[in-house]
Amino acid sequence: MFRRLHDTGHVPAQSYRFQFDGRDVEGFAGESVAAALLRAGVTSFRLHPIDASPRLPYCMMGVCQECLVCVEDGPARRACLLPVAEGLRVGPATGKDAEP
Amino acid sequence: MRPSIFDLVIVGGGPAGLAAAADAGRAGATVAIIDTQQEPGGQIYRAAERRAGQGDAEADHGARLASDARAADAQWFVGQSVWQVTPGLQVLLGDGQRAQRLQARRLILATGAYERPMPIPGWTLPGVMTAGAGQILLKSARTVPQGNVWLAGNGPLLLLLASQWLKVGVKVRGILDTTPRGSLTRALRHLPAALPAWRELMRGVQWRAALLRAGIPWIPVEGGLEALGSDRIEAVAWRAKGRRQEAPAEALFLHHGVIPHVRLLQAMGGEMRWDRRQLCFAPVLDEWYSSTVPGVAVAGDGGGIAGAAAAERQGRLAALAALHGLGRIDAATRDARARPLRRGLSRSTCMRPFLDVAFPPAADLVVPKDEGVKICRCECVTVGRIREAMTQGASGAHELKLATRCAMGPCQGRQCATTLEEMVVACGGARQPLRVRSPVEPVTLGEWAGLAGN
Repeated sequence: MFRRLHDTGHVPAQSYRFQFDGRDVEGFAGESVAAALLRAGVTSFRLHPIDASPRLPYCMMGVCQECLVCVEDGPARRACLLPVAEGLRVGPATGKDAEP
Repeated sequence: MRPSIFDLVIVGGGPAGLAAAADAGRAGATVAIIDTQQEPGGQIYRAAERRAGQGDAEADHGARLASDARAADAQWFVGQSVWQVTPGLQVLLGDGQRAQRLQARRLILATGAYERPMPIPGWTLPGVMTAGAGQILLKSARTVPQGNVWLAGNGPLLLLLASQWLKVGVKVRGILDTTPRGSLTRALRHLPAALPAWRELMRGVQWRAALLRAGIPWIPVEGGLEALGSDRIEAVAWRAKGRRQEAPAEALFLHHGVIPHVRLLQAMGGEMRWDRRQLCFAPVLDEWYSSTVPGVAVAGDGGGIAGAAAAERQGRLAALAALHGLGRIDAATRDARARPLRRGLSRSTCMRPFLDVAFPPAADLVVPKDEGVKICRCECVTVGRIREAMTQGASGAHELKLATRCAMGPCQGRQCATTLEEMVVACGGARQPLRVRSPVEPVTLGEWAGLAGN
């Protein structure tokens, strides 16, 4: 559904490996966890706490709050504001924890 | 520990914020600039510093603004969200784990705009996003959609995105244009005033021509825009020439204008006005971009949609006013420096009336006809539920919010307040913005508690 364009600069962007819900995901320096997850083909970042509908990012800029994920078992955070980092453990925001 | 004091705290690192920071810093004021993103640039200059030096004039300009702000010794608070500003201008911000307080003598809110909500059936399906999201993915993550990609809505941003994608080999299956019939004709009387910006207008024409040459269908839509699918979008439907049509879709990007994002100002009690041409609420501001809240100015799209070039100039004007208010420059200096900025400002905004009238949102995309449409994404509140609450006696946006939980979810009404407010007006109610209260950004109890001892 999403792919990354080749880097045009002299130095290719640094790549990082992190985890979403136990699976390995590749991300690049400067991009958000949300962007990396979309490219990885993740089908939903969370199931909506009211109707369990699968949700993916809508606005990518911190406004819509659809991209909520849990980082290192912590509280829900907006994945579109979270930079990718090596070894990050990210999981779906679920149930009541989906309300930050 | 007392909070750090800054002459000027700027919330928002886009063109308005960066320009204000550079000018104020250069004049010797202590400046803090706060942004939720990790990199400066706001939305339009996303990742500008990373993208600079590769032949993209827009990115180069954004990078220049950022480096000017850095050179002026502005103190950066990146990855931080401001959830509250007290009447005494104490700024509370956090990054989700740790919070801090800054004391401002003057405040400039340069928080920009976000997309006007476009509630269509299926808009909460995975794969339905805003055109802005498409640009953010392209600029900050070099990421583009593939497969059957559709654009729907209206406005220059839609055109721009389609042509930016075309340049990198992404050909959308079609553009579904929701502009109400007769809009361009109504806009023509504003064209003479827009002519000084003929270069920008020509750019729009060129984008459109490039899309035509590439064979991308431009489909005027009468209504019935829908995203179809079960766990993600699978098709897009619309009505054109009296007939319902459908096409396979893996991604749908929506856009029908942007609206000011100034929740901090609203939470502080800043007065808002209804802009009849832009069809949105905007802050009441004077000629120096000062709001009705003492010491607080709003520069950039947050004060009313005017674009990046205007935002920069507004930021510089607001900085001048702040410097004068702080006693760093006298009124004569302030006014002299303001003159060329104001001239530039009227040049950069002369196109606005034409654009606003040429690309208004369609009525059924402001208030959906379909009762099943979720107008509140966060709390899953449908048009039907709002109507039911109205018949049960709830009147006004606030009562409807209490009765249905609309606008009570994580986004706090950013995606549904405009729709709710319009539904109230459509039923004869007064037009009023839904009340906004702090915290206006998510904050954990841990962050809050961590502030208590400081």
